[in-house]
Amino acid sequence: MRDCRERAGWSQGELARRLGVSRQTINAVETDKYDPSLPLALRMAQLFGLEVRELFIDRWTPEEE
Amino acid sequence: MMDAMTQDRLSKWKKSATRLVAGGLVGMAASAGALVLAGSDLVGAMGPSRVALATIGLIYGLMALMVGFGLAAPRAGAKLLNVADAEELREERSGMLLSVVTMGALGLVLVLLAVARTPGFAAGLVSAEVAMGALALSVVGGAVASWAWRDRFDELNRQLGLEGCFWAFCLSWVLLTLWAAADFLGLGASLTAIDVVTTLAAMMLLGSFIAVGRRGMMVR
Repeated sequence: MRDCRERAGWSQGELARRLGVSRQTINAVETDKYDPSLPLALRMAQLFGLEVRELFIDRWTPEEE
Repeated sequence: MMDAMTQDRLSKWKKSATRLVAGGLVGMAASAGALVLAGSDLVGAMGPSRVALATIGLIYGLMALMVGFGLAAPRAGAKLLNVADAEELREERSGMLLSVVTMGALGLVLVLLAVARTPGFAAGLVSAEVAMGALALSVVGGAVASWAWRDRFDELNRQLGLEGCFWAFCLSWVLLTLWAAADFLGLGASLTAIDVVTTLAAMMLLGSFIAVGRRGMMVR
């Protein structure tokens, strides 16, 4: 998410303001200390014009039967 | 062999634990200093339960002072507090100011309770009515403020609050159950009503640190 934010030319504070959360939250998400709620993840993806799975990395794969 | 992620996590845990212990020691030392200033006669008359309560109250007060200092002088505060930079202190000023007021009020009320005059403590500095009035005011004020300011806290604040309360409850439950049972069975120190207040306040503090520390947010 940090890459997307920096590409948009926004500071953490600016992104926080646009999303209606604290800068601490943006910092925690970017440093992998906090997983945002689904509504916030959707808003973040919408703001960057991406899908949620493009914005957040999840290495989980389903077990093969 | 440990992978890099495990090593990083261990390193963060060590740093968090070090900060927690260091913070606790500084808080205890500052509280002890304040109690010494209060005079040995008063402290001697207070007894362990009141001293413990006053110590926890002073730690809350000290934390309020530190955050308040950070807000008043963001550049110096950024070095003292766990924030990214001075700008964060400026941006989060309103939310952090609420923390200062809440922690300061709680600390003051706990200290007032600790030094309140009661039948067994004539040397108390304030009347029991003043202490109870301050407590009632802070409870009502806290409830009203929580409702009025509910939209000022975002989802991370709420999540950390919930996790902090969870840890505080679990720790308080275990501690108070063991202590009360030992007292009931005549196997340990007696548990007084004010010890319950002290334990809850102390565990709320510890629970909050655990919630923040588990997320690796005690270190940057």
